[in-house]
Order: sequence, then structure tokens, then C-alpha cells
Amino acid sequence: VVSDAGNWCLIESDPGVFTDLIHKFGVKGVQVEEIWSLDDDSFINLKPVHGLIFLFKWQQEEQPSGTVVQDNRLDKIFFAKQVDDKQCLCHTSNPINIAQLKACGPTAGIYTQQTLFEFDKQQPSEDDDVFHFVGYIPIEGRLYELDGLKDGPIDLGPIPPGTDWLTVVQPVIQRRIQKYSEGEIHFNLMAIVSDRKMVIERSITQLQREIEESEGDTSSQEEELARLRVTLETEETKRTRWQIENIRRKHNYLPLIVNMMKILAEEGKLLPIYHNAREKARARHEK
Amino acid sequence: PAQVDLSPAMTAEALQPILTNEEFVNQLRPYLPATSDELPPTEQLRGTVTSPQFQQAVSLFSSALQSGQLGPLINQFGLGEDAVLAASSCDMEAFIKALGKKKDKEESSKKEEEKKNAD
Repeated sequence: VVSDAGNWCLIESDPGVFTDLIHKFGVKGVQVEEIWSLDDDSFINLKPVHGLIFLFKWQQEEQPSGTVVQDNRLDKIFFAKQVDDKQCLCHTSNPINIAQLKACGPTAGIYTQQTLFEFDKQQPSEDDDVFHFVGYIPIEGRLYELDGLKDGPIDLGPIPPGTDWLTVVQPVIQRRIQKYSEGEIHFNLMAIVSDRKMVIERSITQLQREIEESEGDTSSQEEELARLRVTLETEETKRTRWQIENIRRKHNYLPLIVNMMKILAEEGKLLPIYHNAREKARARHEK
Repeated sequence: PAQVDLSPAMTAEALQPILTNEEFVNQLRPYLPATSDELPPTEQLRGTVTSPQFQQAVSLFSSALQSGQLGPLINQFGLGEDAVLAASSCDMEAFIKALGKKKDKEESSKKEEEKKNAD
């Protein structure tokens, strides 16, 4: 990942990356999970959901989805405007996985491969896609859309009392998906949820206390306890995987690549790799 | 001509000659990301080269090399004039051929490289 012209910072749309980023911003007790569909089932084990991050292929000339908030609600809503003027989006040639977010400030360096190299990519070609993140969040009974390319938070209307805000946001995102993606899968959805490990550990502690204090049959609690321990283990495995992936993302691969290529070349193994790659490039070019 | 991206051809199979050679693995070990020190070096290297992050870096390296912008950096690795020249003139094939020729001069350049890497 390279920091492109215009100082855009490319961020991979990955729950591990977003979780780490959010923690680096200083927010504790939350994590990010990828959501595969908007059905209620997808959220069942993740509730409470504090916000949604929607990644999509950016297109010019969007209809405004609501009114821009300009009153004193702005004191309470943190909005990171990503553009100061009519600055255009930079492009990425990696569809789906990479998106751009400018409001990175001091963390901009976190997910660029450090000291890899400064590299000015050529002007984006026509088939390069531009991806963009938008956030949805309930604040004091109203649903807001946070789009850094807009002038401010967009008010999407009230969330009826007693209603789960997810049922209000679902049709909004659904409409967007339908509009953009006739036959395309160029979007991705992530949920900001409570720290799963923390939530599970709390439930385990509580169950253990119940079992200790109970004088009757505790078999159903024991069963639940066993289930929670498995879930906790899964969560811990995932954390370890995220950690490894994040180390991999931040690593500077230049010395490894150069030294590996040197060994391969000296062994006469690099030219065949190059020829193979050239064939693949040609085949793709002719398609 | 189309840009050549080395990453689709850098498969575990193509890299097998390195992955199965203990000496090569040990040479590359210092450059690996510190993800899993408890694994044997061969597995660490295999894990790295098959990771999407490495593949992405190879892809980026490929485009940078063919844009001619890697010349000055390649210079720092002590790979010889031919390699620097090829890198500066966006010629990946010439670059690879130049790398292959280095074996005879290995000892002298290795010392130089170590010195430079230490800086």
C-alpha cells in the first residue's frame, strides 16, 4: 500500500486493520467485524452494534440522501471532512480491498508499508476503481451518515422510539447497494461492535458466579459456560491472526524482495518466473 | 507492452528451490516480518511469501521497477552497475539478467552490502 499523490492514505477494508486503527485513535472496548449481509441473522451475535462502515465504489453525481447538519448538533458529532476544496479522489488499482480515507492525520503512516519506497503511480486509467468509506451511526434518536466527502454529517431522519436502529439503516444501505451494484459486488460492510473478548469474559465470570451460588441444578449454565469458552477461544485465535496480518501489512518487504530475487537470479530460477509472469500479463492484456 | 507483475508467478512452487534450501532460508531470515518466531525458519519464510501482503509488495515492486523509479534504491543494495542501469531504464528482464551475473563478484559486494545495510 502506497501513499498516493494528494496524500491520500490507502486503507484496506479489513476488520483487523480497522480494529487496530480505532484502538490507535484511543477508542477502547470496541472492535470491527465484517458483515456479509444485511439480514438480522448477521447481527445476532454481534449486538449491540454501535455503527456501520460501508465501503463502496465511488461514483460522481450522487443524489443527496438527506440534509447536511449545520446546527449545534455538530458540537456532539465528530465529523472528519476529507476534502477542503474540489479535490478529486485518487485512484487505486486494487479493486474491493483497498479504499481511501484522508482523515488519517498522524496515523496516516500506520498502514502504509513503512520505508518501502516513495513511488509516484501513473495517472489512474479508466478501469481503476475508486472506493470510499461512509459511516452510519445512531446519535440521540436520529440516524446519521458520515461521509467525509460531504460538507457535514447527513441527517437521515429519526429512529422511532423502541426500534433497533439497524432496522432503520438496513433499507438505506440496501438502496445504496442496489443502486451501485447491478451485478457487481463492489461493496463491503463492517460493523463497529463491543469488544467481543470483553463481552464474553464478562458473561463467563457472571455464569461462574451463578453456578457457585446456585444450590440447584446447574447443568444448563454449565452447558452455556462450555459454549462461551469455545467462542472465547475462537475470538482469541482471530485476534492472533489479526495481529500477525497487521505485522505483515506494516513490514518493509524491499530488502526481502531484493535479496530473494538475487538468490533466485543466481540460481537461474528468476528468468523462468519472469517469463511466466510476462505470459500472464500478455494473456490479461489481450482479454 | 503490458506491465509485468511478478507476483502471480511468485508461487510457493516457483520459490521451492529457495524454500527447500537451508542456506538460502537463513540468508533471508533477517528480512522476514517478526510474526511467528516459534516456527522453523523455513515455515516462517513460506508463510511470508504466500501471504497476500508479500504478494502485494511484489506487485508494487514490479510496477516501481518498470517505472524506472527504483534505480537509486537498487543502488543502495550493492547489486552492481548493470542492475542499477536496468532499474533506471525500466527494464525488468535486463535487471534480472544483471542480478544473475553477480555470483562471481559475490564476496566483495556482500561485504559492501552488509556495510550499507548497517547504516
